[in-house]
Amino acid sequence: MRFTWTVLIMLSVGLPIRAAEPPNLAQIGVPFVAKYCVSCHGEKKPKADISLHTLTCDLSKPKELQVWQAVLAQIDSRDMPPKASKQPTDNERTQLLQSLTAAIKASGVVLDDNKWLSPVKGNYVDHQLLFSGVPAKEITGTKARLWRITGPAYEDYIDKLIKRFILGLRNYGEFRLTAPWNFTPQKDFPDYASAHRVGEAEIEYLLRNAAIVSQAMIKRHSGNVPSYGGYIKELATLIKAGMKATPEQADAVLTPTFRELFGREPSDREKERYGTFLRNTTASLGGAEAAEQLLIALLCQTEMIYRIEVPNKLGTPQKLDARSLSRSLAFALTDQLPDQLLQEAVAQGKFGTREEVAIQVRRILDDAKVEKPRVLRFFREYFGYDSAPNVFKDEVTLQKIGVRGARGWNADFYVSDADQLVLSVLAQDRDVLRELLTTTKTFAMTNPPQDRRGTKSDEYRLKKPNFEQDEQTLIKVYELPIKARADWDPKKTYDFPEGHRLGLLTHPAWLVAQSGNFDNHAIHRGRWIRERLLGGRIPELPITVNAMLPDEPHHTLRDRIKVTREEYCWTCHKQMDPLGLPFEQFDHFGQFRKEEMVVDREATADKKNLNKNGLPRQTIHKLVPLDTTGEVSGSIDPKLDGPVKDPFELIRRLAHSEHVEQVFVRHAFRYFLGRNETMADGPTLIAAHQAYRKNGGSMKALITALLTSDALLYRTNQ
Amino acid sequence: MSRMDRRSMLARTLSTGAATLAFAPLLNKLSALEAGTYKTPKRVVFVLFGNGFHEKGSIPKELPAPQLEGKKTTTYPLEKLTLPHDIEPFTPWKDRLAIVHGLRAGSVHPDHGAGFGALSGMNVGVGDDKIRNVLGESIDAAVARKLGGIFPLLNLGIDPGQPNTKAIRCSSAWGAGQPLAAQCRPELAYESLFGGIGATKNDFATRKNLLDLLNDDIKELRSQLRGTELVQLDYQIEAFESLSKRNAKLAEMFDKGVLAKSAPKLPTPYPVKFTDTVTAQFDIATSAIVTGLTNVVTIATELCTIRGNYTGISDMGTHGVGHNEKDVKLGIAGLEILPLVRRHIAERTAALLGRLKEMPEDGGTMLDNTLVVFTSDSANRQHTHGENWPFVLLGNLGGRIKTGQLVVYPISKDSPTYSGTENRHMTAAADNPTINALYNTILHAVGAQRDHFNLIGADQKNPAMTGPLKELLV
Repeated sequence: MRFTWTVLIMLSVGLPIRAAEPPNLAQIGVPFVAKYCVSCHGEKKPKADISLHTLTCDLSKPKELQVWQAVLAQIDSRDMPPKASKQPTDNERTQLLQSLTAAIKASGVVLDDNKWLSPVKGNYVDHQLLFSGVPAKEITGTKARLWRITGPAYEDYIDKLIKRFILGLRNYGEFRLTAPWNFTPQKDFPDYASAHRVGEAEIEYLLRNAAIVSQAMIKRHSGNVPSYGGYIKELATLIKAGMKATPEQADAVLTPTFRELFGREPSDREKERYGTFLRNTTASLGGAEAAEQLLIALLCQTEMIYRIEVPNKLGTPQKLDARSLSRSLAFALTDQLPDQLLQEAVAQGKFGTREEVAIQVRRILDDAKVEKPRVLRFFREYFGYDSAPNVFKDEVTLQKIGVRGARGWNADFYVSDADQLVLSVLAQDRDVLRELLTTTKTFAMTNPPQDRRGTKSDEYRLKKPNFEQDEQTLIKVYELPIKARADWDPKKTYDFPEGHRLGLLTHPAWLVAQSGNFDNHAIHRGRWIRERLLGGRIPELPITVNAMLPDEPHHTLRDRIKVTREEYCWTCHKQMDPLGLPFEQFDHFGQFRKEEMVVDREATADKKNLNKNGLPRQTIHKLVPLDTTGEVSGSIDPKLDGPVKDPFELIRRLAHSEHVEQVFVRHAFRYFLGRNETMADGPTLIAAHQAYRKNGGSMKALITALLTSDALLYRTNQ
Repeated sequence: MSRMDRRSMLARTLSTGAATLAFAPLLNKLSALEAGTYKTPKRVVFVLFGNGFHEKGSIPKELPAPQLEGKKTTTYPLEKLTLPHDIEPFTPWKDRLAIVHGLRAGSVHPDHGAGFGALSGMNVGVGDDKIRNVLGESIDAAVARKLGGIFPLLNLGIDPGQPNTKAIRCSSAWGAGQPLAAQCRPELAYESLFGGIGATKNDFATRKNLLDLLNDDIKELRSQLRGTELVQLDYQIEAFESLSKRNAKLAEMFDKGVLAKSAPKLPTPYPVKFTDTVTAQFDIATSAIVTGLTNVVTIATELCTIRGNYTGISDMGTHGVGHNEKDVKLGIAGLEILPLVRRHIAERTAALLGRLKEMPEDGGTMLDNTLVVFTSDSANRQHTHGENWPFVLLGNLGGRIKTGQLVVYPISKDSPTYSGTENRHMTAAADNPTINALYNTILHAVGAQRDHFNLIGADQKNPAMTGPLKELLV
């Protein structure tokens, strides 16, 4: 693909395409279309049955609005004009996009200005150029930002504080002090620096949590000196002085409290601001109330909300100060504040150079005792298999596979098994992506998270002689030779039947996550492969398209999905459907199958099956031949293109592709750096990919390369 | 108004049974009167429930669905008609009731709950995107902009059978990318509105000082950020400032004893079941309105999607209920459970109306100046195509809404909703107005006229689409 500076520069700074005064669409749009589009989309035999020669730029007409939105999507995604055709200049393309965006917005359609910042738009940076080996001219780093800490990180901090000071708070179940910012369910990589806002609701809940902890802290410091656990004697002195508390007693509190809460001294500005607040509150409300207010303030201040990643001064990119860098690194891997060794390295001035950072990254990755939930979460979010429990399967649907009642289906099991599979591959740390895509093993019925499953530990379940209904279903879905409890070991991997499974994309967790309530979701599956493995771009669904498959249960999904073959739809759907349809090898519960079940209309409507009201007593099904063929096309690496006979051929081809590996590296970059890659990150991505390859497909090497790159070390506010 | 007049009015108001509750809006009124800005306040309450508002649950018994089919807009007086089971609790208010059928979803995808599309009338995508994409202003926010209040828009939610959920964004937004969170726990909503339960000190005043301190803290970072990152920070600064102002007002009301007097009594222990939580949230909404804390409330009983259980009625998942699965414990099917759910919500809505009817206001009652919009976030059924979006409007906003009638826009088809059941759904004619027209009608009724509400393209200039709906607006 040709290098286009204008668009790439826009992407590199993460800005939406806009101008102060967008050019008029009538002056730009019609000539553009005439020059580059109407030769194919004209009056005679228009491709995709779309004619553009009659467009007038009057977007108040529904049809015209619909067509212009399609034009926007195609030009925006650079899918049009086709590569073999004459291409517009960068300036022409930009002008059209600007004028078209403005005109569509003026017609009432809302276009998201921040869409370029979302993970799904990361693929819009040209892949070949990113990996072309053009050296970086200068250090660019990442834009100065406030990156909100994750929910688990916040909750871990609060939980540890409660335990360290033995505050006696019931921090579990309905009493748990949960993070005040999980109010909107997210997808893709939800922990993106640009994705969140802290508004009124977040602040209110932050204050509430802080008040609960602070009141408990006051209580602890109000009585006798405890014999164990955390204790701030200056705070106790202030509290006990009550209304007689002096300004000196107030002043004495600040530094030790900062040390206890944040592991650092207050800055001069903080001393001034919080000191004044504390003295004033002490004078008006007394020592205890002042102490409580100070604690609430500190538990709500900026550091409790964000990783603060700003340079110390304006100007050229600068290395983050050691403390901020240590927080960013720790949160990136552990969802916790820096551990003792990292804090010591900062204090001793041994954490600043690239090599010093690498030493800490390797130490954390190699130390099994250091929990690294963020690494597993990357794979959950990348593959998206953890959303399987959110896909509702109703009882009628379950009955079709012989499962009676909702208790016979527990998708949490499948997710937990997939988690264990990922962890076991990570433990080997060899050819991680390829192994995940091609393994024929699985864990079985590993213990799901307790908050979903209750307290049924492995030990408890091992004592039960018979399998529960949901366990029986899982054994059936996996096709495992487990007949009795004695055959089962939750810590062991089992081989799937030969030729029935190949890697995570055929694991029921992924298949169910990428399914609907009643069917497979071939389009979603294809889209996942196109974007996450091939690095492709799927234009947004035009607002005027009613994206529904026909409700025809007597036809196979492959038949019903043929509605997307209409040329208007096919431009986009050809990138998805042929990649997703091979997975028809499995039903929407993730069961391997050789035939497909559809509704038998004739048998269902037969008189023998009708009740006295003329309604069918039951829906009768029949089996029809299964078609698992598909095709890879339009790949950046042409070696990948070509038909496939089943999902296994497709997966093998993808799993052995260097290009797919590079796309995987791009996604790892997005996750661990919390933003989309830009052209300036090309050298970082190449280095990360090389590190992965040279170390035999090592995830540790990949993560180390990313977390020691300029993207993590440097910030700019230019 | 003279001082004597105000005293007389105060004495008259305090002599009623609702004297203490009337005290707060009265204070607001006195200040407005002194400033010469007083107008009888208007109030709008949006009640959104899940799983669809089945035709059977909203059409008077004497008019079975097939009888309503026709190519013309028709109105039926409600006076002699019997309200169906689900909305029977509205019978005492039949003269203030308008039932509307035949509105289309337009570009909204309401199956499984329309998410942010339900109150915006916008296409916010399909599937889970509907509760993620916030593409524009919702009608409750648009009304709140006009009607104002200490809490311009009180957004309450219920996460069915999930008492741990504190807040969630689901229905309402000031604009694109500016969602409001629905408070899902009554005790926390109570605390925001009335202060800590049994509080003796003015937490609002201390909280205001805290907010100002924290705001100063974060403002220091402004100079180091640019572009999107700066916009993010400013969003937070704006939130701090808004909360600070609100807490200052609440502190004043707390000092005057208004909040303690008007706060509802929350059940102890705090409600856990869906039904109890619905009741508590309605009680809080009612108290907030009569105290003058807010003029616009949205209560989303299922958060504009499908999740959880209707605990207190059925322990089955709400999704299975909508699929007409059988509750083995109760021995009834899902489509028999949904009327019980809707009726419970209708009963709480009726209780709210009853309370407003007790509150004297400008020679009438608060109810005279109120409108309740009662509908489902899922149009007429769980797996709907938005072919008919039934609404019940209660109250007439000071005579601005035509009530006492069933309005049926052209309905062309009557089809079975689920095979094997008697539930049927109707399909509005393709050129019928969409919910956007109704929302614009409400805007006209509160005095915030617009050319259209979130329409796109040619519809923006088509009077049949823009509204206001002449059948409903006086």
